[in-house]
Amino acid sequence: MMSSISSPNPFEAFESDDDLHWDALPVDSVELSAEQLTLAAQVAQAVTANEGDRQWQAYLLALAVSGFASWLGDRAPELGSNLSSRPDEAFLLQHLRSSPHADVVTQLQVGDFRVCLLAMGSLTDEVITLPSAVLRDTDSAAHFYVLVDVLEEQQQTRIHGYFRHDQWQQWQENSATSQSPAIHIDDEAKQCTVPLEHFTTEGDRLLLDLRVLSPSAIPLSTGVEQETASNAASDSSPAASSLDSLLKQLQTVADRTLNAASWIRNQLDEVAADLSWSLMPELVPVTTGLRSGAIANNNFETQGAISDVFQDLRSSGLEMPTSVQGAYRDLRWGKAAIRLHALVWDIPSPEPEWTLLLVLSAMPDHTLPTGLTLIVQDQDEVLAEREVVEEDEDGSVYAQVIGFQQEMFWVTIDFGNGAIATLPPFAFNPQL
Amino acid sequence: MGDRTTGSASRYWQLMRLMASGHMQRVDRPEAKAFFEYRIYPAQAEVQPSNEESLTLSDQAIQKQAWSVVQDPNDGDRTVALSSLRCFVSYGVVQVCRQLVAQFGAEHGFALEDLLPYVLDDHGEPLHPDKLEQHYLALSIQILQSFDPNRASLSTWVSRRVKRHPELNRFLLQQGVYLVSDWAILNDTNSAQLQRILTEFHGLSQHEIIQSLSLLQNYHNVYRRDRLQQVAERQVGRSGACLPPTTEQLQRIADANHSTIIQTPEQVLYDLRNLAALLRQYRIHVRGGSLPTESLDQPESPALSVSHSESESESTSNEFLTQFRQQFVESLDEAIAEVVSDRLKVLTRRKKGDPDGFLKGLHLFHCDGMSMAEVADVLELKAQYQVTRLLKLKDFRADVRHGALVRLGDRLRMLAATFASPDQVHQADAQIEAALSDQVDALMTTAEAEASSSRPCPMTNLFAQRLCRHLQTRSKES
Repeated sequence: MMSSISSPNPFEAFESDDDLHWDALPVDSVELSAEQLTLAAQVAQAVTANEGDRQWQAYLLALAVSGFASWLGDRAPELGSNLSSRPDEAFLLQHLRSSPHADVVTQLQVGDFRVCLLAMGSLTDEVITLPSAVLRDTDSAAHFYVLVDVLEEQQQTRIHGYFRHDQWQQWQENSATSQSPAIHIDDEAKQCTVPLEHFTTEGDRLLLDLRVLSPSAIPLSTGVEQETASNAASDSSPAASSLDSLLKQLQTVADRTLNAASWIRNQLDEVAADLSWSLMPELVPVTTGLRSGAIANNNFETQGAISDVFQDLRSSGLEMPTSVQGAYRDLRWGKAAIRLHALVWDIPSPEPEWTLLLVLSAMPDHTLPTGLTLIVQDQDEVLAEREVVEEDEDGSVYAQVIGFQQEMFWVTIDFGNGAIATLPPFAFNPQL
Repeated sequence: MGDRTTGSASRYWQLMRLMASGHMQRVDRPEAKAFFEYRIYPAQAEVQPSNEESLTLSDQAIQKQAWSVVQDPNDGDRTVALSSLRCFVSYGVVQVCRQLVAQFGAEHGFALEDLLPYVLDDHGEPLHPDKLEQHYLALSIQILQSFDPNRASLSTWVSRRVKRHPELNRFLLQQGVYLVSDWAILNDTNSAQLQRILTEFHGLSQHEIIQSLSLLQNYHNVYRRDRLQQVAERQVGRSGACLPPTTEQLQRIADANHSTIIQTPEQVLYDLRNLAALLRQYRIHVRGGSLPTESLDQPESPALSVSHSESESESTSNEFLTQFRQQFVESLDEAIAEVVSDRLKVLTRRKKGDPDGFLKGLHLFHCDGMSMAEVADVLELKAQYQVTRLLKLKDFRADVRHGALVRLGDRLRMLAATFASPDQVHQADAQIEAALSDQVDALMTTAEAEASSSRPCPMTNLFAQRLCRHLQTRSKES
């Protein structure tokens, strides 16, 4: 009699969407202890005895101070602060009392900076309201305005984001022309609202600013002080130009090239050494045509792969030198474990050329993943592109390019699953 | 939610039960099945006699009928009707848990078996609706006791009650998953916010807004004040959760309402939940756009494109470059040593800190090339999430980077004061990250990052190289 009622999954009929939205706790949340909560509640009651409405905000702020202090103590103990990593009752009382404005805690000192703390409860609002005095009055203004998420119920806090005083000034200047949600100043209520999206939501960036910037980089007033500071920041100042050169140097570290020419001298250039390249023994692609004899040094693990490639190249008519140098490095992504060999030889001629031969094989005990692609390009275009197909799994794929000595090549390995590895460019510079 | 086709009528006579072994079993309740066949089915068939072959039964209709039997003091089938509804509730409980596991289980390291003990505790003994008070009340009975068919469907009610279960919430919070309670949201909302949200986001009428503001105010004066007092006196439970207002609190809130309409505590509770639901919708809206979506174990790296222009390196003095690179690596080494030692200090003074696990985890991940899941196994941690929290790799890497930058500035005789522009500092930070990561940091689409736990081999980048060197030196010294 019941056979007419059927459904493959008896659970389907239950409703799933009922607005109860679970959240994952961010990894960088700071847990508060029961003692910290109790202390915050007591302090809030003490400083706002006759103002019921303000009590809760004072409580959240006290928790924000505790959370911020723990975070700073854990992450940046080297930065001096008037905050200990566990602010005590006296400290909290003093700062909540002395703060002229109920919504914020001012007068926090971190390094040479003044920090103003704001607390956001579990609601998550799209605008943050703060008293305009803490932005406008030079005496109460801060270098950093830090918004702390306070999950009172979960006993967790987290740095939500921050903005700097110079950014605020910028927004004000731009507010007439900008299309984005603007900061809003209510003169009557003496309040200012800042859209949540204006906050830089990266605690690490705040730390970087605190660690590295000098206070003069963030002018707090519109007077003389600022003029001096902006001079300091202008491009013509010696400080700025030395920073500029530091940036350039960093760029060369990041963008450095591999000098394949040094491999021929059996030396690993410094960049390659840093990047885990290993020199290969000298290879001698003898012309007997016998595969087993194709490589002089038979200790080398991947000789089979290389030897196949030499065979292939020779049968295509390419002239091979008597000896070839190269280096290799291993790359992993998930289950893919591959070895990239880069072999070089120069081609003497009136205008010297060089050859870069890239051979991709699997690391021992692995197979070459199908769909992986080896791409070689010069500064204008893709010169060679080779995708691994099923037959290649136990062998290798290769790409060979020839260029003049001042030319460089960029090698990219597309793992075919969204991962792309770009190697520093290969150059050939016998003079270095 | 209107009529629904029953997924399977067996949900009304099969109880999902947690056995002593910890496994879940589907247990037939013959008396519930008989009840369904001789009471529910004929009644439903009568309502729609036309098409017997494909008779559709609506859960709503079934539950309404069964519920009316339970409520009728003169009905001899009350106990079996209750039994039948308990079966249905047990399915709902399991379903909610399955959803949680599907959404968070893998990343936060919990399975269905971890959740069920908190909420699936009905063993199925026959209970008479009038004699419930004499027994320990399984969650399913509590759910049915508080069920009001006029307010929500039973499945919605089950879902809400399970998701708000305090012990379940406590367990999930330990795993890094939380549900903010209605009461916490109401606590943290002030009048100005409420007015703005109801006006701009929900477009409510002036009258509704005034009522809501008054309700919130009264709630704050009672519940929030009590909460603060409880925290100050340490009378909040271990979990810290905000429990629903007591009847006494609800009465005080009702009494504070000066309008002519007298409200019952139940009515106040209902209104407060409704208000919280409005704020919740707004909260989801706001958080939907700004939530970080970074993968948990992949240190973030800015994707710097390789500049394909003529390399400038040839024009720079090679000697300076060598010197600079040496300075850079030295700065990096010092920063690594300092950050590792700072971390160890923090973990040593923390009650639940595990400094040895931290060092071991760093090594396994960076030097042995293990995945976070494998590291969790070796460290005997239950979830990958716990490893992530222990190592906090993204923080670690940022601190090393900053330390290296500060030292580099010093070494190059450029004191901190020369870092005059925030933009340049952030640029420098990004470049150091690029130098550390050897440009082999992969660019992955978010979907693939979530689906796959794979990552590039940690052995190959400068950061991992120097870190492993440091860890080796450290272990030799100790």
